[in-house]
Amino acid sequence: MRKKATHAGDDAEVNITPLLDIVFILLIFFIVTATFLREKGIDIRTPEDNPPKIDEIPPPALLLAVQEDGFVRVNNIRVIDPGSVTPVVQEFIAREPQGVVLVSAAPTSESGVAVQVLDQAQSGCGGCSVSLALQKEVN
Amino acid sequence: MARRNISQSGGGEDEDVNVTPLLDIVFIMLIFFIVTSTFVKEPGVEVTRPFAESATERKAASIIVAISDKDEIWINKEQVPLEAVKTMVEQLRRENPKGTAVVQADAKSKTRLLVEVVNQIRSTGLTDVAVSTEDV
Repeated sequence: MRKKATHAGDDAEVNITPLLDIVFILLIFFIVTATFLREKGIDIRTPEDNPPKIDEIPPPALLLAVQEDGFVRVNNIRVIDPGSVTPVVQEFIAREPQGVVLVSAAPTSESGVAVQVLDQAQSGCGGCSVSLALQKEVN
Repeated sequence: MARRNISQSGGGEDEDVNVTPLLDIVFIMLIFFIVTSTFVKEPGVEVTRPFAESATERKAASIIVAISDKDEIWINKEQVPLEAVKTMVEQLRRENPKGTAVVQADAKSKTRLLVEVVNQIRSTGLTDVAVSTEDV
């Protein structure tokens, strides 16, 4: 029965072993090289994103200056802890719904603090835009 | 009769296993891995990410720039100077035009470097730049 079938005809079987070998090698290659990278992050915007129009009143802004020592100066008036930025931003947005929040970090401050302030500001104001800029160096 | 039975169903030497379902599964897995593979160029340094609550999942993040706690910039397992970031990112963009960029900045690195690296990446025309964070 078998012999008859291998000659030619409807039941003729193609030898698929080499095909299977190649497919397995490809499969192993793609499994090994696959990197399922799961990155979580927050968007960084810089003030250049929205260039101000000339004949337009600039929107009210909240300035959060990250100091070198890790504390945050709000509108150059008071100094707060980076962990308590959210309520300050919430209060500002409640007062000025069109307001923008600018995080201005000292160049020598730790970026972890700047990112923390960005995160806090973003969760404080929902969908509003928070941008990150560098302070001018004083010396 | 008895002999025939053995040779037909009882596992002789020439007995063929039906490999068609196996082949189907293997092909489906192969196609899955081909489609999902993105070939991310890892930066090659471990950084301590800052914690954040408002972070969102970054999809198709294929351009990764790391800033270590010693303020060194790493791309594709190479340490690069700040001026070379733009060239490197342009090169990576050519390989993967749809990818977005993620900056892995160590929490102890300087903000100056973070902002300058972000500006360098943005100057290539890629506006979707995020800073990598960790869940609280």
